[in-house]
Amino acid sequence: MVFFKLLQTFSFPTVFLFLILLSGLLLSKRKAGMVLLIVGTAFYLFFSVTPSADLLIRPLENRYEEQDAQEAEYIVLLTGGMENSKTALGESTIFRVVKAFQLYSNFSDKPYIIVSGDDPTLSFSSASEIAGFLGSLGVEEERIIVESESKTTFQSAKEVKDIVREKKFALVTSAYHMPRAVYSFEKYGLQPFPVPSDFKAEKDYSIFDFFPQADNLRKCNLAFHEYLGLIYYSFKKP
Amino acid sequence: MTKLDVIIIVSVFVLIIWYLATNLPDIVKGF
Repeated sequence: MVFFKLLQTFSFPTVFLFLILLSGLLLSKRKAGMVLLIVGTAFYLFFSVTPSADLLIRPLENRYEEQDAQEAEYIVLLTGGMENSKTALGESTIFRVVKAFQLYSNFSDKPYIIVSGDDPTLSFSSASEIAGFLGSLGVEEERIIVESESKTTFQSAKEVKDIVREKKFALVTSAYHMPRAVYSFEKYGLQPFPVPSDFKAEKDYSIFDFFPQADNLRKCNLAFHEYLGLIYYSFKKP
Repeated sequence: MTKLDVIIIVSVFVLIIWYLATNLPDIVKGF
Protein backbone atom coordinates (compact mmCIF):
# COMPACT_ATOMS: atom_id res chain seq x y z
CA MET A 1 0.00 0.00 0.00
CA VAL A 2 2.80 2.42 0.93
CA PHE A 3 4.58 1.48 -2.31
CA PHE A 4 1.49 2.32 -4.38
CA LYS A 5 1.00 5.61 -2.52
CA LEU A 6 4.63 6.50 -3.27
CA LEU A 7 4.23 5.50 -6.92
CA GLN A 8 1.06 7.58 -7.06
CA THR A 9 2.86 10.60 -5.58
CA PHE A 10 5.64 10.39 -8.18
CA SER A 11 3.08 10.15 -10.97
CA PHE A 12 1.72 13.61 -10.13
CA PRO A 13 2.87 16.29 -12.59
CA THR A 14 3.73 18.62 -9.71
CA VAL A 15 6.23 16.05 -8.40
CA PHE A 16 7.77 14.64 -11.57
CA LEU A 17 8.06 18.10 -13.15
CA PHE A 18 9.98 19.26 -10.10
CA LEU A 19 12.29 16.24 -10.47
CA ILE A 20 12.82 16.95 -14.19
CA LEU A 21 13.66 20.60 -13.47
CA LEU A 22 15.91 19.71 -10.52
CA SER A 23 17.80 17.17 -12.65
CA GLY A 24 18.12 19.83 -15.36
CA LEU A 25 19.61 22.28 -12.87
CA LEU A 26 22.07 19.71 -11.50
CA LEU A 27 23.18 18.81 -15.04
CA SER A 28 22.92 22.34 -16.42
CA LYS A 29 26.54 22.35 -17.64
CA ARG A 30 25.80 19.42 -19.93
CA LYS A 31 23.56 19.30 -22.99
CA ALA A 32 21.24 16.77 -21.32
CA GLY A 33 20.70 19.27 -18.50
CA MET A 34 19.63 21.96 -20.94
CA VAL A 35 17.22 19.55 -22.64
CA LEU A 36 15.70 18.62 -19.26
CA LEU A 37 15.31 22.30 -18.33
CA ILE A 38 13.58 23.11 -21.61
CA VAL A 39 11.35 20.03 -21.49
CA GLY A 40 10.52 20.65 -17.81
CA THR A 41 9.68 24.31 -18.41
CA ALA A 42 7.56 23.45 -21.47
CA PHE A 43 5.61 20.84 -19.52
CA TYR A 44 5.23 23.18 -16.55
CA LEU A 45 3.58 25.66 -18.92
CA PHE A 46 1.50 22.91 -20.48
CA PHE A 47 0.15 21.61 -17.16
CA SER A 48 -0.41 25.03 -15.62
CA VAL A 49 -2.51 26.76 -18.29
CA THR A 50 -6.25 26.18 -18.32
CA PRO A 51 -6.86 24.90 -21.91
CA SER A 52 -4.26 22.14 -21.68
CA ALA A 53 -5.21 21.13 -18.11
CA ASP A 54 -8.79 20.89 -19.40
CA LEU A 55 -7.55 18.79 -22.31
CA LEU A 56 -6.55 16.19 -19.73
CA ILE A 57 -9.53 16.36 -17.39
CA ARG A 58 -12.39 16.96 -19.86
CA PRO A 59 -12.44 13.47 -21.42
CA LEU A 60 -12.99 12.08 -17.90
CA GLU A 61 -15.71 14.61 -17.08
CA ASN A 62 -17.57 14.17 -20.38
CA ARG A 63 -17.60 10.38 -20.23
CA TYR A 64 -20.94 10.20 -18.40
CA GLU A 65 -23.81 12.64 -18.64
CA GLU A 66 -26.26 13.00 -15.79
CA GLN A 67 -29.00 10.39 -16.10
CA ASP A 68 -32.55 10.59 -14.89
CA ALA A 69 -32.43 8.72 -11.59
CA GLN A 70 -36.11 8.85 -10.62
CA GLU A 71 -36.33 5.04 -10.52
CA ALA A 72 -33.48 4.82 -8.05
CA GLU A 73 -34.12 3.57 -4.53
CA TYR A 74 -30.70 4.58 -3.29
CA ILE A 75 -28.34 7.47 -3.81
CA VAL A 76 -24.74 6.37 -3.40
CA LEU A 77 -22.54 9.30 -2.41
CA LEU A 78 -18.84 8.57 -2.74
CA THR A 79 -16.89 10.61 -0.23
CA GLY A 80 -14.03 12.88 -1.28
CA GLY A 81 -11.15 14.06 0.83
CA MET A 82 -10.93 16.24 3.89
CA GLU A 83 -9.06 19.54 4.12
CA ASN A 84 -7.55 21.82 6.78
CA SER A 85 -5.38 19.10 8.33
CA LYS A 86 -8.28 16.75 7.64
CA THR A 87 -10.69 18.52 9.96
CA ALA A 88 -13.08 19.99 7.37
CA LEU A 89 -14.91 18.56 4.38
CA GLY A 90 -12.89 19.05 1.20
CA GLU A 91 -14.08 21.09 -1.76
CA SER A 92 -14.95 18.05 -3.89
CA THR A 93 -16.78 16.44 -0.97
CA ILE A 94 -18.96 19.51 -0.48
CA PHE A 95 -19.88 19.61 -4.19
CA ARG A 96 -20.82 15.94 -4.05
CA VAL A 97 -22.86 16.32 -0.86
CA VAL A 98 -24.78 19.28 -2.30
CA LYS A 99 -25.49 17.33 -5.51
CA ALA A 100 -26.71 14.31 -3.53
CA PHE A 101 -28.92 16.57 -1.42
CA GLN A 102 -30.38 18.26 -4.53
CA LEU A 103 -31.11 14.86 -6.02
CA TYR A 104 -32.66 13.63 -2.76
CA SER A 105 -34.87 16.72 -2.60
CA ASN A 106 -36.26 16.01 -6.09
CA PHE A 107 -37.66 12.63 -5.08
CA SER A 108 -41.24 12.41 -3.84
CA ASP A 109 -40.54 8.93 -2.35
CA LYS A 110 -37.35 9.75 -0.49
CA PRO A 111 -34.51 7.31 -1.31
CA TYR A 112 -31.78 6.14 1.05
CA ILE A 113 -28.48 7.96 0.81
CA ILE A 114 -25.48 5.65 1.22
CA VAL A 115 -22.41 7.63 2.24
CA SER A 116 -19.60 5.37 1.11
CA GLY A 117 -15.85 5.48 1.75
CA ASP A 118 -13.55 6.47 4.55
CA ASP A 119 -10.03 7.81 4.81
CA PRO A 120 -7.79 5.22 6.52
CA THR A 121 -5.42 7.93 7.78
CA LEU A 122 -8.13 9.58 9.89
CA SER A 123 -8.82 8.78 13.54
CA PHE A 124 -12.53 9.43 12.96
CA SER A 125 -15.06 8.45 10.30
CA SER A 126 -15.30 11.07 7.55
CA ALA A 127 -18.37 9.21 6.22
CA SER A 128 -20.10 9.84 9.57
CA GLU A 129 -19.08 13.53 9.40
CA ILE A 130 -20.66 13.76 5.95
CA ALA A 131 -23.77 11.93 7.19
CA GLY A 132 -24.01 14.53 9.98
CA PHE A 133 -23.69 17.32 7.42
CA LEU A 134 -26.48 15.77 5.31
CA GLY A 135 -28.62 15.58 8.44
CA SER A 136 -28.02 19.28 9.12
CA LEU A 137 -29.23 20.01 5.57
CA GLY A 138 -32.51 18.26 6.37
CA VAL A 139 -32.07 14.66 5.26
CA GLU A 140 -33.93 12.36 7.64
CA GLU A 141 -31.52 10.39 9.80
CA GLU A 142 -33.16 7.04 9.07
CA ARG A 143 -32.63 7.66 5.34
CA ILE A 144 -28.82 7.89 5.72
CA ILE A 145 -26.68 4.75 5.61
CA VAL A 146 -23.02 5.15 6.55
CA GLU A 147 -20.68 2.71 4.84
CA SER A 148 -17.22 3.29 6.29
CA GLU A 149 -15.63 -0.10 5.58
CA SER A 150 -14.30 0.87 2.16
CA LYS A 151 -11.08 2.83 1.77
CA THR A 152 -10.97 2.96 -2.04
CA THR A 153 -13.47 3.39 -4.88
CA PHE A 154 -13.12 -0.28 -5.77
CA GLN A 155 -13.93 -1.34 -2.21
CA SER A 156 -16.91 1.04 -2.22
CA ALA A 157 -18.38 -0.89 -5.14
CA LYS A 158 -18.06 -4.14 -3.20
CA GLU A 159 -19.60 -2.76 -0.01
CA VAL A 160 -22.41 -0.95 -1.81
CA LYS A 161 -23.31 -4.13 -3.70
CA ASP A 162 -23.94 -5.85 -0.36
CA ILE A 163 -26.37 -3.07 0.58
CA VAL A 164 -28.27 -2.37 -2.65
CA ARG A 165 -28.32 -5.95 -4.02
CA GLU A 166 -30.39 -5.79 -7.22
CA LYS A 167 -32.01 -2.41 -6.56
CA LYS A 168 -31.44 0.63 -8.74
CA PHE A 169 -29.27 3.46 -7.49
CA ALA A 170 -27.85 6.82 -8.49
CA LEU A 171 -24.12 7.34 -8.17
CA VAL A 172 -22.98 10.80 -7.08
CA THR A 173 -19.33 11.74 -7.30
CA SER A 174 -17.07 14.29 -8.98
CA ALA A 175 -17.32 14.24 -12.77
CA TYR A 176 -13.59 13.51 -13.18
CA HIS A 177 -13.97 10.52 -10.80
CA MET A 178 -17.09 9.12 -12.50
CA PRO A 179 -15.35 6.90 -15.13
CA ARG A 180 -13.29 5.10 -12.46
CA ALA A 181 -16.30 4.87 -10.13
CA VAL A 182 -18.67 3.46 -12.79
CA TYR A 183 -15.91 1.12 -14.00
CA SER A 184 -15.53 -0.24 -10.44
CA PHE A 185 -19.28 -0.73 -9.99
CA GLU A 186 -19.59 -2.43 -13.38
CA LYS A 187 -16.85 -4.86 -12.35
CA TYR A 188 -19.18 -5.90 -9.52
CA GLY A 189 -22.06 -6.27 -11.98
CA LEU A 190 -23.84 -3.07 -10.94
CA GLN A 191 -25.34 -0.51 -13.32
CA PRO A 192 -25.63 2.86 -11.55
CA PHE A 193 -27.31 6.00 -12.88
CA PRO A 194 -24.34 8.40 -13.06
CA VAL A 195 -24.96 11.82 -11.49
CA PRO A 196 -21.71 13.75 -11.90
CA SER A 197 -20.94 16.92 -9.94
CA ASP A 198 -17.93 19.15 -9.22
CA PHE A 199 -16.96 19.89 -12.84
CA LYS A 200 -13.47 21.35 -13.18
CA ALA A 201 -13.07 22.02 -16.93
CA GLU A 202 -13.98 25.50 -18.18
CA LYS A 203 -16.48 26.03 -20.98
CA ASP A 204 -14.77 29.03 -22.58
CA TYR A 205 -11.50 30.86 -22.19
CA SER A 206 -10.13 34.36 -21.85
CA ILE A 207 -6.56 35.53 -22.39
CA PHE A 208 -5.91 35.12 -18.64
CA ASP A 209 -6.47 31.38 -18.95
CA PHE A 210 -3.20 31.16 -20.89
CA PHE A 211 -1.17 32.27 -17.85
CA PRO A 212 0.07 29.60 -15.44
CA GLN A 213 -2.29 29.01 -12.50
CA ALA A 214 -1.83 26.72 -9.51
CA ASP A 215 -5.38 25.40 -9.84
CA ASN A 216 -4.53 23.88 -13.23
CA LEU A 217 -1.62 21.92 -11.79
CA ARG A 218 -4.09 20.48 -9.27
CA LYS A 219 -6.47 19.57 -12.11
CA CYS A 220 -3.63 17.75 -13.86
CA ASN A 221 -2.75 15.89 -10.65
CA LEU A 222 -6.38 14.79 -10.39
CA ALA A 223 -6.47 13.71 -14.06
CA PHE A 224 -3.23 11.71 -13.77
CA HIS A 225 -4.56 10.07 -10.61
CA GLU A 226 -7.71 9.02 -12.49
CA TYR A 227 -5.98 7.74 -15.63
CA LEU A 228 -3.49 5.70 -13.65
CA GLY A 229 -6.32 4.51 -11.39
CA LEU A 230 -8.29 3.31 -14.42
CA ILE A 231 -5.27 1.36 -15.67
CA TYR A 232 -4.66 -0.08 -12.20
CA TYR A 233 -8.33 -1.07 -11.81
CA SER A 234 -8.33 -2.78 -15.19
CA PHE A 235 -6.00 -5.39 -13.63
CA LYS A 236 -8.07 -5.77 -10.46
CA LYS A 237 -10.55 -8.57 -10.08
CA PRO A 238 -13.65 -8.32 -7.87
CA MET B 1 21.58 23.47 -28.09
CA THR B 2 21.33 23.33 -31.87
CA LYS B 3 18.38 24.26 -34.06
CA LEU B 4 17.78 20.56 -34.65
CA ASP B 5 17.45 19.96 -30.89
CA VAL B 6 14.83 22.71 -30.62
CA ILE B 7 12.91 21.34 -33.62
CA ILE B 8 12.92 17.83 -32.12
CA ILE B 9 11.72 19.03 -28.68
CA VAL B 10 8.96 21.21 -30.15
CA SER B 11 7.85 18.42 -32.52
CA VAL B 12 7.65 15.83 -29.74
CA PHE B 13 5.68 18.31 -27.62
CA VAL B 14 3.22 19.05 -30.43
CA LEU B 15 2.82 15.31 -31.11
CA ILE B 16 2.01 14.64 -27.43
CA ILE B 17 -0.65 17.39 -27.39
CA TRP B 18 -2.13 16.18 -30.67
CA TYR B 19 -2.24 12.60 -29.37
CA LEU B 20 -3.94 13.63 -26.13
CA ALA B 21 -6.50 15.84 -27.88
CA THR B 22 -7.50 13.17 -30.39
CA ASN B 23 -7.27 9.97 -28.38
CA LEU B 24 -8.05 10.61 -24.71
CA PRO B 25 -11.87 10.58 -25.04
CA ASP B 26 -11.73 7.18 -26.80
CA ILE B 27 -9.26 5.82 -24.27
CA VAL B 28 -11.61 6.78 -21.42
CA LYS B 29 -14.58 5.20 -23.25
CA GLY B 30 -12.57 1.98 -23.43
CA PHE B 31 -12.95 1.50 -19.69
